[in-house]
Amino acid sequence: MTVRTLAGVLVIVLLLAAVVPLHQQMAALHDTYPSEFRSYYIPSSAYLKVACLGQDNFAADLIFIWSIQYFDRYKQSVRDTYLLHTYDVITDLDPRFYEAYIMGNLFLSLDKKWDMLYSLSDKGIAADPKDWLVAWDAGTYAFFQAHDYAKALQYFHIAYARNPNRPILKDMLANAYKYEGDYESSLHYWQSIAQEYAGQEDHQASYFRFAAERNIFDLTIKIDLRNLTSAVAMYRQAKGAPPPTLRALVSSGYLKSLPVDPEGKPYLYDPKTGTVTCQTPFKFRGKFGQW
Amino acid sequence: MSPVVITPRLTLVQVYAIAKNTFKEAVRSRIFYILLAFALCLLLFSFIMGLLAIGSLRRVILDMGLATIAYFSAATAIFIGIGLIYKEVERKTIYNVLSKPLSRSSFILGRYLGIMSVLLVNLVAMTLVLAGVLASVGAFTPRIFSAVGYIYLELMILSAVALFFSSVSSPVVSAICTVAFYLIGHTSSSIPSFLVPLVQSAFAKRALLLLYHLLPDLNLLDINNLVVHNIATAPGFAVRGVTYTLLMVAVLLLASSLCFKRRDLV
Repeated sequence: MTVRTLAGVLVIVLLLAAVVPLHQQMAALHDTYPSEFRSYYIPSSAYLKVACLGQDNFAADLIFIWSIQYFDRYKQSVRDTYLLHTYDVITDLDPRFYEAYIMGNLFLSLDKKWDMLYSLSDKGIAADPKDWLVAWDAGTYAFFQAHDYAKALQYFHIAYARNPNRPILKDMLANAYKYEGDYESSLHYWQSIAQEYAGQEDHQASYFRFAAERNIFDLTIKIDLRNLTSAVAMYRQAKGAPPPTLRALVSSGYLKSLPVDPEGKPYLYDPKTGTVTCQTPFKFRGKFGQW
Repeated sequence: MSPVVITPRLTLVQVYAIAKNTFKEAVRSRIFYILLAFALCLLLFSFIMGLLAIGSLRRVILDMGLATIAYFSAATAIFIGIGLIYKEVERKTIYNVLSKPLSRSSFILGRYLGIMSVLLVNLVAMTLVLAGVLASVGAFTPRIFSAVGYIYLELMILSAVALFFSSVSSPVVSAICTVAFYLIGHTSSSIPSFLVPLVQSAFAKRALLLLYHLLPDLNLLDINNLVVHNIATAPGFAVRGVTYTLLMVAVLLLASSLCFKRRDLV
């Protein structure tokens, strides 16, 4: 190796040695900029489709990966403006990119942007008439987080219509009806689940049968209490005072017969206040038991 | 000495000899290996990209792998194709070849088949690596072979275009024109979807649609997105795709041959 070559290599090494600290300083300075001023711009999907020369899926993947890596670098104010747009662009490039709908829903749910989440999910549901996952995903956010049971019902119905063989979808439909206050529909779905798994002994069957039996028990009480309370109210409106006993509701024609709770015990009645209660406790407890 | 009679058998032998020579020349080219090495690295890198996209490993490997194959094989076709004829003329080696009892059309055809065999080797190497990466994560699907088949159809057209420009102009002009063809071919599909809705006049709409059907639409030969989503191509699509490609190639090779015949090489 000649002296000239050695000198050349040395110069390259020295230049590289100067580059490293310079790069470090630039990176440190860059980090001092407010996060919202860092570049965050995605052109419209119409332009991107042209620019990626037919590889729309690949472009969708790149933006998707970028959106995941950089999600927490931006303040919520920035995310409010761009998050839906980002996932809109990704799903315009590939309308069947299920993971993008699921991830977009997750990010939007963290910011509680329910309308945006529903809008993104509606796009995914329309993109593939056979897919049930996006509807299921949107339904679970509506049910568990937004507590928008009407919306949850809408999504669970779509998911169930597309995949009636998934027992969890029927389970969620029954639950959504219950929390929405439509006890009769909920009871109908729970009874259907109980029938479907009657006599089966595997783990899944026992799980759904157990849930169905408890819900049927509770819903029967709920429906009875509602019917009795409603009959008492009608009696009070007609006669100016609550009935002296529950039997008076049957003799006056407000009820066909007097129901008993699932354990065969009569419902309790306070003639002073006109309130009807159940002496048997509900089976369902826990976080979502307060319905 | 009796004059050489050009029989169909002799023509085939000549075309084969030219094609073999083109193949050898191309595989000695440094640009071929550089592009192939980049493509293979990107194919392996698709595994890492897949890990970054939560829950989408299979789709990212497929998307990135097929896009890499499409982009890099197109680049290889352009870089090798643009110099095929011009280099021969510039180095004056064409005089040796054409002094033999060989028609200029056979020379063009031999050159074309040579570059197509190089691209086939290139494509096979990249496809095997992609198949290996997919198999390593348990996501191999034989449908990648059909996607790669359609990429090869596109390369057939692109190479014929590069050869055509190479037969009439210098490598720089050929490169610009072939890249322009590639860009037009991959953006013309936006005419009906993007431009037509923007114009108001019915006449302008019809004119744009006519322009769209006149221009090549290479996106039609791209089924990568269908493969990723396990969607079958429409019945009869493959036959139409192959016929369309063969027609385009025939037109371009004929045009190259005519231009090359009229070219005064002295």
